[in-house]
Order: sequence, then structure tokens, then C-alpha cells
Amino acid sequence: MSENNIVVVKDLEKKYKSGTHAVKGINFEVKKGEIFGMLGPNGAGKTTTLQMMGTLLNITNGKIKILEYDVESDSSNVRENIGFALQEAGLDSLSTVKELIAFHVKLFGFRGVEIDRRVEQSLSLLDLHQYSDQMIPELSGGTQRRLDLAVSLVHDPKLLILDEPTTGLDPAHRSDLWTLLKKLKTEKGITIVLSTHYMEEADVLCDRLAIIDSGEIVAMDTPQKLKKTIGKDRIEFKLFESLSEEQIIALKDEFGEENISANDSFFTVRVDDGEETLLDTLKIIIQMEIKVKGTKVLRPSLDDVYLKYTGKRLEELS
Amino acid sequence: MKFSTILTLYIRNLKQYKRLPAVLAFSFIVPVIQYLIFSNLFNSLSDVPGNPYGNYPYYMYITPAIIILTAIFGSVNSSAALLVDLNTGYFDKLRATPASLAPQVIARFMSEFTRLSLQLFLIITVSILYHKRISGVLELPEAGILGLITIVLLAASFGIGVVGNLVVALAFKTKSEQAVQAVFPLFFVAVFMSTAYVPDVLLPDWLQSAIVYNPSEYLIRAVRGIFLEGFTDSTMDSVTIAVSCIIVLTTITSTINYRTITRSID
Ligand SMILES: Nc1ncnc2c1ncn2[C@@H]1O[C@H](COP(=O)(O)OP(=O)(O)OP(=O)(O)O)[C@@H](O)[C@H]1O
Ligand SMILES: [Mg+2]
Repeated sequence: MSENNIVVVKDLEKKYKSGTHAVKGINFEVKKGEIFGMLGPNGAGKTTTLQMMGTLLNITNGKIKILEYDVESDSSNVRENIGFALQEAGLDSLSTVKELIAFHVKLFGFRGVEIDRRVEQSLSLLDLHQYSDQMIPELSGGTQRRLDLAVSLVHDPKLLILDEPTTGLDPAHRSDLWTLLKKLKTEKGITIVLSTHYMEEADVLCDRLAIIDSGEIVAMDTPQKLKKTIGKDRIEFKLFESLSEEQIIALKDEFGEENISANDSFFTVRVDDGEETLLDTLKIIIQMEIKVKGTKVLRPSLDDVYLKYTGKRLEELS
Repeated sequence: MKFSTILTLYIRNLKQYKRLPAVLAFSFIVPVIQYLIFSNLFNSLSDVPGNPYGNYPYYMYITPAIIILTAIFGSVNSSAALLVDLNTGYFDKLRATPASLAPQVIARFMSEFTRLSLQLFLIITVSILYHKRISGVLELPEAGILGLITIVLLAASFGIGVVGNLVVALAFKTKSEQAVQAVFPLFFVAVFMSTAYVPDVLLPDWLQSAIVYNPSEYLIRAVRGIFLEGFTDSTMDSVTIAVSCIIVLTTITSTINYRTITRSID
């Protein structure tokens, strides 16, 4: 194991007492300063995996090491060094925002002026000043999630585990959170492991992604490389009238049979780089006297990647 | 597991009570009302021929019963604050911090013990004030402050150790306030099926032979001994029996509790 690895998960398996085989022997590593995402449909095993990392569930088989500490045999060292925001932000319903943050600061052993300093810092970091004396149940769901993240960060953890951190946030707070997580990564070198249902989040935020389905990792790489596995760009041409047999043959001759697919209202051409070749392609098509109503370039998205590996559309989830 | 972590959790729990007024009020007000009603209603019981405690006014005879009742009522409530944490999910959130599992549970027992002890002192104060109202003298029982402290420690240990452990186990198993409240009448009956309110010679025969199986009876004998007679030899015997009883039962209930809690984590 290299020193650079903050998380090492080896042959990890989880069978619940109910018999559900939620995680079926997965392997991955997360390097220092990485934002590692887990993408997968409902019930894929994301929460189960994260909770085993966070010492909340027993491990059925396999090993997890966090910062060189074994999660099972050295759990107290793991707890000192991680921050974990669970999927359901459950916070003390009998306390105010400020009291809760102060309590978490004390839990990690800070005393005296350091408590006030960290509470202050935490309120600022997540823009919570205006709520500081409010009771927690009075806060909106989104604000509670931000508070949950705030208390998960009070001790400057080396690893942050976030189970669907932006579910329930409005778009503005969601992109604020992305900015914050990137800042934590670049300025403090915090490593982040998160699960998400949002394709855009996975794409813009994560350095690497694991796509999980039915307890197994079906693909794992950078978002860019995952998209490459889908193949070429496609240019879609909308038609005024459907193509004639001759036109289809001409198209297949020109671009190769495997790169053409057509139906009554449009056809697509697969090319290496859609934006670069759009004009040239269009010229050829006009010369063939095909009447084109409109055109657009389709690049493989994570959604396509997701569809390829899980057989499900991601957009349906969120 | 650091002591400072437990202390931080303990202080947080104590602060929580000010936002749980119902828990505080319920386990205090009900026994006080009982005390006032019963002592007036049955005060002629002391005059019944053959009552070995005939030389004490009835309100003094039932003070130990009210103390035990407070201990039991208060302990049934000892999972209320814990249930709040269990049901919001905050308990699990804390499990991923140094608060982990054992310190959270230990701190919870410590704070419940503290709360219960304070409530017991309050009840004792009420009884002393009531005594002053009736007799015109402000006086402590025979055994003095030390006696009162012993009474509080005995009653609180019984309450938290025996009742509290069972109730907390039930909370982990069911996560439901109703389920916990449902066991309440059971303990209530246990107190009634003893000499708490009526000396044994005045009890029906079947109950006289049944009370030896009632653990709360031994506690009542010890507390009543200290309260009415002071630390006499026979009181010390009762205290020894009560303490053994608490130790044995607490060992059993805490084992049950430990198993239930560890099993609740999959
Ligand atoms: N405590 C539990 N006991 C038994 N089975 C469970 C438990 N928690 C989860 N499961 C099951 O394990 C599987 C994985 O669930 P998990 O919560 O890890 O999925 P997920 O990827 O986080 O899903 P989601 O996107 O809905 O949050 C599911 O089939 C679920 O029903
Ligand atoms: Mg989940």
C-alpha cells in the first residue's frame, strides 16, 4: 500500500442480517487530496460502503484501511480523523446551531478560546451566522445539511465522507457546496469520498468515479476516461423528409456503414470530434441533396456511461 | 475511550434536560400528587389495630414508597432523551466521532443517574416540608443527611440499574417511545404489590407470600428502615439484602442491555 493512499478498500463485502448481500467484494483506493465519487442507482450499496468506512456498520468480509488505520481494529483512530455526513442529516433536535457546533468542537478535545475560534470559523465556512441561535428543528432541510457538513469539519478531518451531500440543496447552494469542497481539497488537502445521484456533480466535482450497481463496482476511472469508453461523438441531423434508399447508401459509403443510423425524422453520423468536423460533414450532406432542418452535436455524457454499465438512466433517479 | 469525551457528552446531556421539561415534570409531579392524595386519604391506616408501624403517621410510612415510585417513574423516562437521539439519527452521526458507542451510552446513564438523584432529593424535601406543616417541626429523619444520601443512592441505583437498563434496551430494540411507556404499568404494579403502601400484616395472605419474590420489596424495606428507624442492626440487614439484590439484577439487566445494543448494529 502506498503512503499516498488515504483509503484502501479490499475485497469488501457486506451481508446484512436480513440476508441482503448489499456489497459483493469491492476494491478501490483513494489518494490524498482526491475527490472520489460513488455513482449508482438506489440500493446499489453506496451508503452501506460509506457506513462501513465510517465505523458505523460491521464488515462481513474484506478490509478497509483509512490513513493506515484498520477500520475494524483501530476504529477510534479512524473516528478521530474523519468527518462523516450521513445520508439523512440527523442532528440534535434539542440544541441551537451554535451549541451543536461547540459541542462537536469539544468532542474532539478542543478547549478554551479554541472552541470559540472554531465555532466562528465553522459558522463562516458554511454561511450559517444568521442561524446561530436558532433551534435545529426550525431550520430548513438544506440548512440542516449545511450544518451537518459544518459539524463534520470542525476538527479539520483528513478524510471527509459525504453520503449524498447535495440532495435537498437548491441549485445555488449546491454549486456553493461544490466550490467549498474544491476549496477544502486544494487549500487544506482534504480527501473526500462522496456518493451522489447527480451526474453533473460527478462530472465537475469528482476526480475519479466508481459506478456501483448491485453491490459491485462496474466501472471506475476519471469522468473523462469513462466517457471515452462510450465511443465517438455523434452529429444528429433533423430531416424535412425521410431519406431515400439511395441517400442512405451514399451516406454509408461516405462515412462508413457502422457510423450511420437513421430513422424517419433524423439520422446521426458518428465522428471522432463532433465540433471540429461539423461544418465539413454538413457540406458533404448538402451536396447529397439531403434537406436538413437542423443539427446538433451529441457528446457522450456520464449518463451514457451510466446507461452502458448499469442499464439504467441516471436522470430518472434525480 | 477517553474520560474527557464521556464528560463532554455528560454535560451536553445535562444541558438537554432544560429542553425536556415534560420528562422532568412527569417523573416529579406524579409522585408528589400521589404523596399528597394518599397521605390524606389513608391516614387512618395508622390506627388499624396490629399495624406494626402504628406509631408513625401514615404520610411518613409512605414516604419511602413515594421515593421508590419516583425512582421507577424517573427511570422509565431515562430513555426519553436517548430516544430523541436514536430517532433523529444523531446517535449514529455521533458514532462516527469520538463519542462512538460506549461513551454515548455511559454518559447517558451518568446523566440519568444525576437527574434521578436530584428528583429524589426534591421528593425528600417535599416530605420534610410536609412533615413540618403537620407537626410544626422542621427535622431530618433519624439517620440524618448521611441516611438521606444513602436512600437516594439506593433508590437511584435500583432505578437506573434495573429499570433504566431494561428501558434503554427496549429503546434500542424498538426505537419507540410508546413501547417504552407500555412497560410502565408493570413497574407500577410491582410497587403496589409490596409493603410500600400497606404493612405486610395488613396485606391479604396471598400477597404476603408473594412479596418475597418482588425485588422492589427489598428496596422498600431498606429505604423504610433508614427513613423511619435510622441505621439500626435490622436496617443494616435490609440494606445489605437490597444492595445484593441491586447488584444481581443490574448485572442481569446490563448484560441484556449490552447484547441488545451490540445486536442493534448490523
Ligand atoms: N440496515 C439494513 N438492513 C438490511 N438491509 C439493508 C439495510 N440497509 C440497506 N439495506 C439493503 O442493502 C442494499 C444497499 O442499500 P444502500 O442503502 O447501501 O444503497 P444506496 O446505494 O445507498 O441507495 P440509495 O441511493 O437509495 O441511497 C439495499 O438492497 C438495501 O435494501
Ligand atoms: Mg444511500
